[in-house]
Amino acid sequence: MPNAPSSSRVDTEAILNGDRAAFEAMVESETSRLFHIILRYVNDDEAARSLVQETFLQAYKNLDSFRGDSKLTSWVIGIGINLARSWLRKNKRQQPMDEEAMERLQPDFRFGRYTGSFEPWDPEQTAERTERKKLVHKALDELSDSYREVIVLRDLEERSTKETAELLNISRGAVRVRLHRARQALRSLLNPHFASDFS
Amino acid sequence: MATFLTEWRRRWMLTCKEVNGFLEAYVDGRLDTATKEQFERHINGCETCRTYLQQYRATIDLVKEADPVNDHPPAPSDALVDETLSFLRDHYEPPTNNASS
Repeated sequence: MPNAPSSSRVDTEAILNGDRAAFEAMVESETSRLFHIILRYVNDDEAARSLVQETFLQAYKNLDSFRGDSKLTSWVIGIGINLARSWLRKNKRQQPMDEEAMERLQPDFRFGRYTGSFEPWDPEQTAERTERKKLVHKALDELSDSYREVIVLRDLEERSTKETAELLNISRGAVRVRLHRARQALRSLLNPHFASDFS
Repeated sequence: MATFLTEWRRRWMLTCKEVNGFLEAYVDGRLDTATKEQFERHINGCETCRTYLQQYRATIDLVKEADPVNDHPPAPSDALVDETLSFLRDHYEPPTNNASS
């Protein structure tokens, strides 16, 4: 479900001038979008609700530090992402993988060809929907923040590479590389569960 | 002759590794026409790459299917907006300039 920017109710100038009603209008128009992003990060309804409130409070208290080099709503989302990251670090049960482990989940090549072979997937035949979701969340939890967040922003939020790069403060090239590596790592983690068994 | 063959190969043939490097751009619909043709020519003739592409796409679909937001109504949650505004009003500091309320 894409989240197209809808900043029509955001009067940045009034907000920066201390107009509380304008700030609250932004809260009304952006709460749902922010909740979805944070929920996609933390996958915990209660935590996401609480983090939304904390995000707007931090934004309100720190309006002075908004430099205007992005949209105000993007700046607020950035605060939400940082809070979601902190929450994940404190509450995630499993240790995210390091770069070495990530590398092991990328395909190997020899003379330009894959060294391994692949069986077609048939996820709907090999696992029930609830089970599939559980497996995907477990795999996502194994990714480090920097990989997980590009999956959230590009594949779930369906934000453009440009928007993702701006929100994460990285280059567009870095977004593309991380996204590709993250998808390949997820593919490797999910492969044992979804490869068809033709034997 | 060697240069000609190298150029011919560059134009017409991609290795599996090169195809893998184009996957993200292909799925995103960002490949230019010529590269897309090369990519698809390789995929059509290479079962390994075809299966890998199927798994790569299925991975994206599975991630979308597992989206936590699917379990929530898509419309803005008035209750959450009310909770958030109430939370903020409890925590606002006294205005320092021309705040309107």
